[in-house]
Amino acid sequence: MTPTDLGLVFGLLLKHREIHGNPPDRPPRENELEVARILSDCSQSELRDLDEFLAAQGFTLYIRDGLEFGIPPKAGRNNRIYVVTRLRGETLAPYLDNDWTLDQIRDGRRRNASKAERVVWLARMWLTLQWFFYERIDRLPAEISRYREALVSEKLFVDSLSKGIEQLGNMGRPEGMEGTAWDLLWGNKNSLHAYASRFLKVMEEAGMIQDAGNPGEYRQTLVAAVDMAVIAEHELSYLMPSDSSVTLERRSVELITGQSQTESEDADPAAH
Amino acid sequence: MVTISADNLPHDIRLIAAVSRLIDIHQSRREAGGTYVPDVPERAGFNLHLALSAIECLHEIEMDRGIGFCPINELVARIRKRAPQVTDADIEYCVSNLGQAREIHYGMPGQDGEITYARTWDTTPLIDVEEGFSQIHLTENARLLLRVSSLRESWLYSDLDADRLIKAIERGQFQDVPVFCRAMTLDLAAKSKQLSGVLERPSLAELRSLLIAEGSSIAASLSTAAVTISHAIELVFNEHIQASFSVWAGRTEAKFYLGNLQADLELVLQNVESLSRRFLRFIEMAQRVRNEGNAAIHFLHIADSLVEQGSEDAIRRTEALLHELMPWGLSTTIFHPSMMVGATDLREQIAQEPERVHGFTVDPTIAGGSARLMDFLMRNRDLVIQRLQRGPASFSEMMSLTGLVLGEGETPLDFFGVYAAPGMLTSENQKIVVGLTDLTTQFVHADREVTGSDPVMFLEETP
Repeated sequence: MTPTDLGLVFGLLLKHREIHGNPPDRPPRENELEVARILSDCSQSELRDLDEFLAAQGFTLYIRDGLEFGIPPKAGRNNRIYVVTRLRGETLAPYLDNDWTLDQIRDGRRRNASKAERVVWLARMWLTLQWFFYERIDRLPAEISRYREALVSEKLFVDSLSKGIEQLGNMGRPEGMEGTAWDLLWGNKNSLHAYASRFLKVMEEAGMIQDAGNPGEYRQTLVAAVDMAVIAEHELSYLMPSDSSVTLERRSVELITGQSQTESEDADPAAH
Repeated sequence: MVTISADNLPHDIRLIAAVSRLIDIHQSRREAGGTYVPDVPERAGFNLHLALSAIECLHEIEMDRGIGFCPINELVARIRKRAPQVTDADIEYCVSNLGQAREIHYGMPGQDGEITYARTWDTTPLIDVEEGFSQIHLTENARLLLRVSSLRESWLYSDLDADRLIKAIERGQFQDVPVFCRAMTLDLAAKSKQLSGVLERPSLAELRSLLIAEGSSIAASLSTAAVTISHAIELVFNEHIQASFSVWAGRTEAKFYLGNLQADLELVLQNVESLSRRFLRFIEMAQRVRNEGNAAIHFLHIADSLVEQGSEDAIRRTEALLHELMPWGLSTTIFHPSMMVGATDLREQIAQEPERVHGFTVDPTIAGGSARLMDFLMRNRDLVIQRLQRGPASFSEMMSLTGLVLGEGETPLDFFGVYAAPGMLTSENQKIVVGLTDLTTQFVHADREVTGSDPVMFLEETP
């Protein structure tokens, strides 16, 4: 792989996070076929070098054969899929902006919306989106291969968000300081449509969802499915409500190791 | 209306006709007396044709892109291409009927000879419309129907899937080969996806065990298929077949060449081999997969709990986590072409290119680059040696040296070249060594931000 090839590969990965020589649901992007060919010609050691180069910037490369996802190959096309995802335990390169999504979902008519408000709305919308992609179709985050079955429509998304917020409103405000998030959701429920449509646009721009062929309908991308499989293994447990039976000690160990412990591991630490 | 002899009936109609009396007797009521023959409505032919067209169109889309949902609009467009007179209402009627389940009752003889009765429901719909979406796909039932229907070749070729390729080539029925190849490739892709599904989902443990148990026979049939396809490839290169292809192509005005067939067959062979390799890996991994863990995640429950325990601290924690979960944006001001793939017009960048602030170039037409470096070093050699005699110094420290003698257009940045060629400052008893560090340096120079690694330079003197 020459430095020019590396530049082409990295540029495309940085911009779209995915390279596929035979994409089933979209036309190939500019240079994508050429870059897919470059990658298919790479030896194992060149791919290791590329992964090392990416690791220095907080990324890792995920490579799968399209055949595994039921994508039939075509003659003369590289059917492998290359996806760049975060390397756990490494910080992202400083030229990348962690706050990007939070900034982008800002409602243009309410530029003064506080960051806390956007955090609460973003978390709720993101979890609702994942509900569509996983719980609704009885799919586990580890089931990457079913990414093409994961659909969401703007209308159903708004309905689901709206129903959830209505339910929270009827439950009443949690007491004291615990009610801050409730205030931010319930107090700004009129912005629901604006937030929802902004969020879906941002997710599309970030390559997490793609047009499913009908207006207002989207499907999950492979990039998002790979991301979610990794997130479910690592970070998602920290968002989950803390279980009273889980000891403080166990939660602390989980936070340090970045992995959730099973009951048996918790009961018998000497087993390791 | 025309009548066609049984030998010339389309194969799928022949199949439907063959099972029709079984469905009729299933629906019959003896109390009505006589034999039961349902009335056939006027539009029966139209309806059946439309239904088969819809299934074929969805199958074509799957062969092209693999298994997954497709927008109903796309199906409508494909059907219209085949039959322009079909209306939206016709298609809607057809789709809702094919997607509707119906009961089939059946009896099974028990061990004591007594018949027990059962019913099935799920195995009847042929297409699945995703609730709330305008997306559609074929069900496994429809795929089964298509597989059975495609076995028409077995009425002609009567053998295994891969064998039919050889039969088609030998009999000079070349038009069938690309279709068989595509169907086999889709079948291989579907099998491969099934392996992924079994590995990814613990609840498919039963299927996984079955695949493990049948491992040796599956592996054997895959390797037999590979041998058969290799034989088919050899056959296509055979002179006799090449001659027969030329005759056939002349007769039928074929739209492809023999080379296309060879490429198609090779692609199938590659994929059979790839699936064989994958299957062996699967067997190895499947035996290690744990059934526990991977529990379903209740996303909306998590969303509610974030509001129920929504203090300011909790929101701050959520924000920190969102930083890890959300897609990132690019926020760089440093230009690099690799960041701009397909998105920038570099001509404008070149027109606005700032004046060079350093003295190096890779353009061989500009003379004096290395001489300029050498001149710079010779002029400042003593100052550098003096500094290094006091101890090692990093690049950033050297940049801040005062007293450098600069020529026209030179800046302290010219000093950078010495790190690539420290030998230029070496004398008989003095040697400069450059050591790389993991430090970085950042400073503003001539109104521009400069960033780079910060190597350390030290002096080795021999008496």
